[in-house]
Amino acid sequence: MVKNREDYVRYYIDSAKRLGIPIEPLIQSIVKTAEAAWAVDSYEVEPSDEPAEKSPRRRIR
Amino acid sequence: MPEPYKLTVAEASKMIKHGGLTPKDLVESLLERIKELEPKLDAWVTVDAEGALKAAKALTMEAQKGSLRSPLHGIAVGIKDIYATKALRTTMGSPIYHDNVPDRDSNVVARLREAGAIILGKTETTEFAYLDPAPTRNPWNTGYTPGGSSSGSAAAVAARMCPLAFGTQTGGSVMRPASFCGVAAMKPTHDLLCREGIYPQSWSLDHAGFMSRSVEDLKLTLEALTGVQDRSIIRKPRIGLPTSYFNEAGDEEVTRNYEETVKKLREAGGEILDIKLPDSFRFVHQAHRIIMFAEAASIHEARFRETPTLYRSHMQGEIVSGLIIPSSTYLHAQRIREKFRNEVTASMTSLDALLTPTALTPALKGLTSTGDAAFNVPWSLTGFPTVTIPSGLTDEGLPLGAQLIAGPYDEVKLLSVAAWCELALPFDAEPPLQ
Repeated sequence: MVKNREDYVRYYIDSAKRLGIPIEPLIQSIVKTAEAAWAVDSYEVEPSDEPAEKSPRRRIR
Repeated sequence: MPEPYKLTVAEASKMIKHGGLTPKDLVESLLERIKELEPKLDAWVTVDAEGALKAAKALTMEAQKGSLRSPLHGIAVGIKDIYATKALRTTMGSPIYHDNVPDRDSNVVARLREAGAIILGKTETTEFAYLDPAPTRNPWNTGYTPGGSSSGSAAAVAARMCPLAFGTQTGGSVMRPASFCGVAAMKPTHDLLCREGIYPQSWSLDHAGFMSRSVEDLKLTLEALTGVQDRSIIRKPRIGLPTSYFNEAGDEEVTRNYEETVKKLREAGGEILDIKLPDSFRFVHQAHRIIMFAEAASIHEARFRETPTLYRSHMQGEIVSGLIIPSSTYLHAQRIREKFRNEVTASMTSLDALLTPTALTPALKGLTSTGDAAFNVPWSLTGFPTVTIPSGLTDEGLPLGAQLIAGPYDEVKLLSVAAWCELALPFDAEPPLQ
């Protein structure tokens, strides 16, 4: 799997080429998206999707 | 009596109620105004003069019998051209839908008609409500963009072509054009207004919203659409100021105006508190891009593969980029979104609202860019309700705005805070259009 910003950009450009669409005019958008993906994937979020403080507040109606 | 086209929603509504104005007179005055200014502004895709006059006559008769449906009875409204309107062309700003005539109304439009509003026509949108610009010009200076994607709605309200107009926001498409055009606007909580019949840009980020020339008008509109009535007055709002990003990322005039705005609110008696943005804020713009692009790609994929050249360049970039985002990255972005939503909600519990500038810049020169949504994106990502009100003019005479943000479903409190701020930040300038 890709590990750094450069790998992300390369991966996104290669993937875009595989779509079979001329991508030259779209490079800026693809690179910005690759950089956003790199930032998003590099930020660690707790595996649980449930905020701890939320559960006790729930009530059965 | 002033010319009817100059009236706000509240003024026109009151006059219709007391017999001093008929819906027919209001529509005729607005149609004249549109005829005069549309060649300069290009705010409308379609003006439905015949349909509006027919509805106005029927609503005039109802009013004369003392039957008023809501505060919007007889009020003429502009609708962004991505809301489906029965028997009225709806183009999404795209050649793909050039001849599209829906056979039913979108939910919001149906509710507006039930509330007695008159659909005056369809306002210009950027292509599929993304970044490829509409032809609309800014009424404050026609050499400048009105912002987007709800370009025509903002310009039409600012130019007094209609007192109320509807838009949509996925990033900043209601707040930013409203700020660039010097009008008030509201984007309610993500799912408060039904999006059925609105062409999606991104299912989980799209919001319906509306623009007018006062906070009172926003209140009346929300009341007509949701049935929520509230006349509470806030005396000393607790307003939070983020201590980073929003106070430093804007251009010089925006930041100066923001500081002056804070000073005026403090002098008016507001309790102003510093708020530290959570760590997850650093990633909200990237998470927003990933979510919006992946969802837009899913919406357009099939047609894009058949006819990619029917899309303009920004849309092509969004779709191609979105098609190659791995599902794991999309889901990671959604988790960051949830984390930010939880963290920022916790930091807002003791506040009535947050305050930021509405846009990074005033309206930009030329029509090639609709501006930057960076100050609105975090609140589209959380789905929290926001309001913008005008907060002054630049040295060049272009409007600036102040954005207020509240927690989910706190629309009533948000509008009360906005009304209080509006009193502390009087703005009576008008676009120099004569």
